[in-house]
Amino acid sequence: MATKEQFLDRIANRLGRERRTGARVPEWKNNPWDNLRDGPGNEGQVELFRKSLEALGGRFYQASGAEEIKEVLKEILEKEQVKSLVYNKDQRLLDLGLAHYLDEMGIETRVWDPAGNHEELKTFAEQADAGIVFADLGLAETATVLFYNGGPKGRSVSLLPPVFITFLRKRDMVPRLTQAVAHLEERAQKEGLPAYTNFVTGPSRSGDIEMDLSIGVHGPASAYVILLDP
Amino acid sequence: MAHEPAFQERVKKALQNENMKKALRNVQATFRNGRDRQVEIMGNWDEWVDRAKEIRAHVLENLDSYLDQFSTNVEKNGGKVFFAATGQEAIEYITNLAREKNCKTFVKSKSMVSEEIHLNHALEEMGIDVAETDLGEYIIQLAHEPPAHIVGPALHKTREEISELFSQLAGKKLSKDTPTLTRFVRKTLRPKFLNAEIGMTGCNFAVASTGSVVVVTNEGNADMSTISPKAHIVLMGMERIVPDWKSLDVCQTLLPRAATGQAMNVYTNVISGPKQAADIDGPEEWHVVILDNGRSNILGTKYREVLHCIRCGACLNYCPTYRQIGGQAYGFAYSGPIGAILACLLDDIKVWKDLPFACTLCGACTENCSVGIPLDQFILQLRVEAVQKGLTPWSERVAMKAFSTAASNPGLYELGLKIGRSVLRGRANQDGVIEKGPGPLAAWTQHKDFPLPAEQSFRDWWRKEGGNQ
Amino acid sequence: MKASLFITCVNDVFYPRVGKAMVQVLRKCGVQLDFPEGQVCCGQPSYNSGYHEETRQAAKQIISAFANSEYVVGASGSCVGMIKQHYPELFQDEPDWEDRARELSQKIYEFSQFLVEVLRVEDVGAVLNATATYHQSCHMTRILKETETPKRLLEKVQGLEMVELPLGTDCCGFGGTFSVKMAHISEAMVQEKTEHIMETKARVLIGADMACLMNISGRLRRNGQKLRVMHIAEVLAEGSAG
Repeated sequence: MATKEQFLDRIANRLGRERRTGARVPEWKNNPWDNLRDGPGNEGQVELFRKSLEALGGRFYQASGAEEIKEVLKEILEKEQVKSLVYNKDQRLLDLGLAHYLDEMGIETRVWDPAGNHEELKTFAEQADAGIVFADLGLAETATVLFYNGGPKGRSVSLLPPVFITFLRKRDMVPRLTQAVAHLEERAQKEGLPAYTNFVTGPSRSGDIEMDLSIGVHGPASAYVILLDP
Repeated sequence: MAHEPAFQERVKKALQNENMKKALRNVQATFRNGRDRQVEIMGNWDEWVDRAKEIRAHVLENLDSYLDQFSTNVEKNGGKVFFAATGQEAIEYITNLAREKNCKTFVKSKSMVSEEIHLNHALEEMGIDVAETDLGEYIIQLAHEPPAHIVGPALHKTREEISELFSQLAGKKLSKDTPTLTRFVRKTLRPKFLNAEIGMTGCNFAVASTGSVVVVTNEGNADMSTISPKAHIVLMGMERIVPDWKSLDVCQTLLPRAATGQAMNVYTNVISGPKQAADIDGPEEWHVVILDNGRSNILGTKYREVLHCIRCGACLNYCPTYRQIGGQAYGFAYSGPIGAILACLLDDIKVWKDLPFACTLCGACTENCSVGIPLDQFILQLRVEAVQKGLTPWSERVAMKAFSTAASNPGLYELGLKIGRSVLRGRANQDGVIEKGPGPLAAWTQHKDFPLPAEQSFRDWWRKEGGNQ
Repeated sequence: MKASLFITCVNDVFYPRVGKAMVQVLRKCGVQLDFPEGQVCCGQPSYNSGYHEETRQAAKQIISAFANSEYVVGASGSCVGMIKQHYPELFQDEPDWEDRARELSQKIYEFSQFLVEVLRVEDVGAVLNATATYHQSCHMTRILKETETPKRLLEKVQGLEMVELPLGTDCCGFGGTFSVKMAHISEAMVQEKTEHIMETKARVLIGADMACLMNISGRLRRNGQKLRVMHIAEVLAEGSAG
């Protein structure tokens, strides 16, 4: 069995030199994303995000203020006939007063709380009709949302239920992946990356059956993004 | 795995498969149109390709350093790294782990590397239920067939065939509409995801700076394979490294666009460790198996750039040979131009020597490669190697010698032409065309008419009149 | 203006009419022509099959034949591409021949390139009343990297209506010895090519590479599909008094 040293030695050997460490990426002057950097301004980004999301079969809402948020949620949850729902114990979600609305609508809910019973939570999430999460970033170019999961923010919440609802703050919208990776790199340096970081773009899909679109293969079939402004 | 006549057999079979033909045309049209549209939208596609090429070249140049950094960071993050020099070592590690975990169900997200080393077979021999979860892989697993395309392994299957396969499993007749078939898959695989002891994924990109593994899917099966099982194994080719997140941007900008015409995959997962103490879901153990299996052999050769490949499949989508024969005819885990080259380099050119010759050197692959690999030049180089190793037919070597003699001797050439002309004249029909040619010409005339040499060659005409006008 | 003709072995043997048409058109443009008899074959058959030692022999013959030429005008995009792109590489271990190869690669042009880029002529007064489609050879497209000059010349042909060929950048399936070694795959490719050609409803198929056209016309004929197959030189020689 090869040890790490043997493995890496062989590589150096094949490259015709001694072992090397500490390699760094060269500083390139021009970058392919330079012309994309000055993307559409915030309004343009929102519009681009909306168009891209809808083209993928996702649905986009905007809401500002408690009343609108409540209305939008009610509309979605009634439309999807949601009876049970799990959401992350995310302060941003709690600040929206989520618990209160959901209670009013008579929906059975669980909060993804590490202090709770893990097995019970996982089972509930697996059987829930919907999951609500809060995105950390939105990528306008591709209608992608980014989640730093971990602890009270579970991957299961956005993945397992067939309906996936995410809130996204307008000010967390960035033009594209280029800004997102910078954000990732910074976060990695400051506090490390969680075990699970996800970029999600629309509902789960596949083209494997005669190139015909299958929606909701393993992940959610319905994807909603609610943009909060501010 | 394949031997000489087998390739031609597989080719003939593929050419006779009407469903395959329809599917291949559809696949190429869809993926080409998708990619072309994205290229147009980006506006500066070549700049991205050039940068990707630079990054990949830089990584390979420093592969030991980046693998060192990556594995150190994976371990810092709480993962275990295993360096597998050969496919056999990787299989041993994985099967040992399966034994240790008393694994009954092993869920797999798509991994071309696992097909390269034939991992499924080894696990199945232990009595483990190996559940492929990528829809295309699942279909071909049920059908006991090899993949037909790098990105969409079951693209040659009709919905009737798929419905038949699923119906057999369901024990009842399922209709063949997409939603029904999709629902069946979701329902059937979900318990496997939730109950599997081990989940395995491939790796699209391994980011050295943070010890992270990036896995992309559209279905969410990589996510499903990694949040419930207690152990997650990543199986990666050692060349899948990117140095940092800026580099990942370039590669991930190109990959979905080049592969299917999507701007972004639905699920792009960044895994940077096993579950942390406060996490509710996620694996307790994270194993990253880094595989060599012949890649280091390629490092020190003129074919090094082949390791740039990000497995987008664009070369397949533009290849006229692939278009006609599909992926299964190649007989190797990877097909198309990249597959033809990898088969000869990762395995033995003696075994795979047909593949580099199943190509017209049209150059479409190189033109569309996301990372600028000179695929057609490598294919030609492999032909040169095949010749040098004496792998081409004796009769061909003789013919080529005769050719070069005639090509360097105009007098001999004209003599040969006179003789050839008189021989072929006897084989022509009344329209002055050959329908049944002798010798090597027979292969041509089986499918096409062949012209008779003209009564008077150009040079003869020039000598007699053309030059004097 | 003096130029040497590089007719190519395929045209010399099978399609001398292409060479004659080239001569007619070039002379009409005032070019003084010669035909170095030393030329035989550019070596693509052996080159593409992996026999590079044999190819060097053929290449040396070509290089020597055109040593004294000011310009060389070639009747095939792929042959000219071979010489321009691959000859210098072929001789990387023989510096003397490498220099000579480079010299040739700098003065050789494909026929339509020569007209448009060197002679700066696009309208040679050709007349051809027909609907036609153009097949671009892969090697001319991707090795010689020339797609524009034939189009510009054909645009100026009076009475000629060009219809675009669907999947026009796809290979016709010739590929040299591929057409014999991998005959079944070659057949599938050329059959599809003929289907696309028939879709255009064109009565004439035009190309700048007779090897491709030999392949395609062989299949058209076998299918009983009656199309006139012409090299671009023949098109340009049409309707203009010789």
